[in-house]
Formats: sequence, structure tokens, C-alpha cells
Amino acid sequence: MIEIARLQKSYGDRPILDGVSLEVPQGTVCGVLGPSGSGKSTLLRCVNFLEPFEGGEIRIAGESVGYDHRDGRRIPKPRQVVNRMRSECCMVFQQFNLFSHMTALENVAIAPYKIKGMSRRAAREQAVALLDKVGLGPRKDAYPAYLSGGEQQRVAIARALAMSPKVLLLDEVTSALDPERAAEVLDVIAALAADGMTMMMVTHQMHFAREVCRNIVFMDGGRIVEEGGPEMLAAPATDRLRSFLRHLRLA
Amino acid sequence: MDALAQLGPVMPQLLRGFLATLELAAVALVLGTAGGVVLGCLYAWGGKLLRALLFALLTLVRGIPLVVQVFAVFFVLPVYGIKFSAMASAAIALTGFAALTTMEVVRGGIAAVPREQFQAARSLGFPFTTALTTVVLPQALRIMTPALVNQAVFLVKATSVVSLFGVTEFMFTAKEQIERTLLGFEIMAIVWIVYTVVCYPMTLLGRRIESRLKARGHAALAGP
Repeated sequence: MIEIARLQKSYGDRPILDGVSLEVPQGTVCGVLGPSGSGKSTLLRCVNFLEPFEGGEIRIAGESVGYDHRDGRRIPKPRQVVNRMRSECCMVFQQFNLFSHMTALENVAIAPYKIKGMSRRAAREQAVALLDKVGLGPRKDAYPAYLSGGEQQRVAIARALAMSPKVLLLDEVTSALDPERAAEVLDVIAALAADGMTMMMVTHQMHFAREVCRNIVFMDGGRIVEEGGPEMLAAPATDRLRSFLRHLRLA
Repeated sequence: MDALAQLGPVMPQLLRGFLATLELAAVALVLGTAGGVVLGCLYAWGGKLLRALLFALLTLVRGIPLVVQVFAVFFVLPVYGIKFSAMASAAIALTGFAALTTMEVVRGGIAAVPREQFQAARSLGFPFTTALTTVVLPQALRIMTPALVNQAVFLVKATSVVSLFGVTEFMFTAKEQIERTLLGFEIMAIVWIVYTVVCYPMTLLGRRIESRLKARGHAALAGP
């Protein structure tokens, strides 16, 4: 579903992503681990094309992200295509980023209504159904300021799901939450994984990653240092991952 | 009693002047605010050159007393062959002033909306302008309301500046009538009451808008 090949991205002289390649088959969850500054968030942002990149290619369902490749040249895609592809591969952020002037329901309904041309009524009905699904039916008319972190993040997931994306990108979605609130959110994600949602997930929740991820990649310094199935967390092959996991356990 | 009898005939004149003031204030407010919103967006999202130009204009407007700006439109522009009627000149000077100062309010309002809000909208597939109009500007408006109301009230009173240049608005007619009747205290009291009666409801309206927007939870703007 997602194919990333030799991705290159830098800020000025500083390389952020240095030849990252990975594949996420349809219906599976790929966990992305790594220390801060290893480029994992940037990788996700490139898939959503919030960040342009200099080299390599990302494909979602076979369609190239951000650029067309013709005669060996990269041509930026038209804006409408970029916008459509973004709506097919929605992102959920560490800090939720709900629209603070809208209720939970409006947050979920606004994008299908404004972008997909869904009728007001259909968008609202779908929003109610999605909020029920993440366990927030009764809170649908609350503004984000009156929701707990866990509730806000579940609304954010519902907001992304409202676009019926092919892929969901989760960027440290539980890092701003205490363990109980995080568990609420992780339950929602586990249910999505069981439904066969294709996801890429940056996380520090090792136990959770081991449960839901088919593949896990460990990044450091803009490269993938180690990749494999969930069992790699129990028996890391590289010293780098071993030391990272040891520090994580101590934390 | 004598003064009251003398005030009677003054009233129609004052009313005419007052209507001219209202007209001037309305034009400057509507065009100035609309222009300010557009300029503010251009400032916030435009290129380097455009920003530099707008900043230069703003610095000019902020650094020069309003009286001098109006003077420039009345007496300097005609030197270069650009001539308007007194009323039009007044409207142009005040609108320009309003647009540039509102621009600064709008720019600040947009800058105060966390950038993540815009990114979240973009990540869902919102086109640039839709993200701006449905996500950023409504939140910026909430932040800008007090400053915009302040600006509007100031502008209504600032129209009196053009009386110095012979525009027959409220202040000018009041001074005219004082010279005629010598009822300085009484007519100035009327001027004071009328300006207050116009400006006070604007302040109240601003408060109401503010508290209504606040009910939605200002806290979220401060970030998590």
C-alpha cells in the first residue's frame, strides 16, 4: 500500500532522511521507532506531503506522492492532486491539533463537507457514527477545550477517518497523554488494526507496537538501522537498537 | 432658557454634520476593515518583497500623525495632479489609515493561531484558501475582536480630524455654530454626548461578540 524508495530529505546541508526505503503492505501496521531527531516524524510528514523531499519516491496504492516522474525528471504534481492524495492518507498528530473553534462533531464533519462535497446532513450523520465508534458519542457537542487529552486524540482519529483514507499516519499519538488516557487511544487504534486499516505509526509504546505491528523499523540519523517483525524488539540484532530499548525500559 | 431657545435653530445644522460624520466613518470602517483583512492575509502569507512594501507603508502611517496624513491627501497629492473633493479626500485618508492599522491587527491575529491548526487542515486535504477561511481566520477573529473594536471606536472619533481641513462633518459644523452663537459649552456638550452615544454601543457589541466566542473555550488556543 505504501512503498517508500531511497527517500532523501534535508534542511539546508543537514540530511534528515538519508535513503529510507520501506514497504507497508495493505491492511498491516508498520511501527516506526527511534530517538528524537532520527527523522521518523519527517518520514511521516513526507508521506502526507506536508514536507517536500529532494530524492527518492513514495507511492501510495501505486500513485506517486508529490511528484510525477517523467523521462527521468521530477515534476511537482498539480495542487488539486496533492490535496486529494492528502485526504486519502490522513495524519494524526502528537498534539491532537483539533480545530479549537469547532465542536467535536464539527471537527469530524468539516472536512468531508468542505472538501468531499458531502451534504451537511450526511457529513453530520457520518461524524456521529464515527464519534460513537471511538466512544465519544455523548461528547459530540463539546469544544476541544472541554475534552481531556485522550478524548481530543480520539476525536482527531475520527476526524481523519471521516475522509475514508486508504492509509492512516499516526505521529506519536499517545506521547502527550498519561498512561490511562493513552490506553483509551491505543484501544481505538488496535480496533482499527483489527479492521484491516493500513497504518504507519511512530510510537514509543513498545508493548503496543509488538501487539499490533506486522513490521517495525528502527531509525537513527535519518536511516533505517534495523527492521523486522515484532520479535526483533525481544532480540535486537544491532547494538544501537539494544541500547535504545534499554534506555526506554529505564525511563 | 435663553441658551435653549438659541440652540433650537442650531440643531438641523448639527444633524447635517453628524450625518456626514456617520457617512465618513461608515466608509472608512467598511472599506478600511475589508482592506485591512486582505492586506493582513497578504502580509501573513505573501512573499518577502510584498511584506517589505507593506511594512514600509505601515511604518510610514504609524510614524506620521493622522493630521499630517490627511494633510498629505488634501494638499500634497494635488501638487502631483491627483485631486479629489474634500469629502472624498477625507474618506481616502481615513480609509488608508484604517486599512494599514487593521492590517497589523489581522497579521497579529493570524500569527497568534498556532501553525499546527493550519497544518492539520492541510494534512486532511484542505486547499490553501479553504484552510485559511475555515480554520485560521475564524480563530484569528476571536483573538482580534478586542483590538478591532478598539480600532473601530477610534476611527469614528478620528473622523473629527478632517474638520481642520474644512470638511463639513460634525466637528466642523459644531465649531461653525459655536462661532455663530457663542454657545461653546452647550454645543461641545452635545458633541461629547453624541460621540459617546455612537461609540458606547460599539464597545458593548464588541464585548458581546467576545464573550460569545469565549464560551467556546478560549483555553484551547493556548495549546495543550
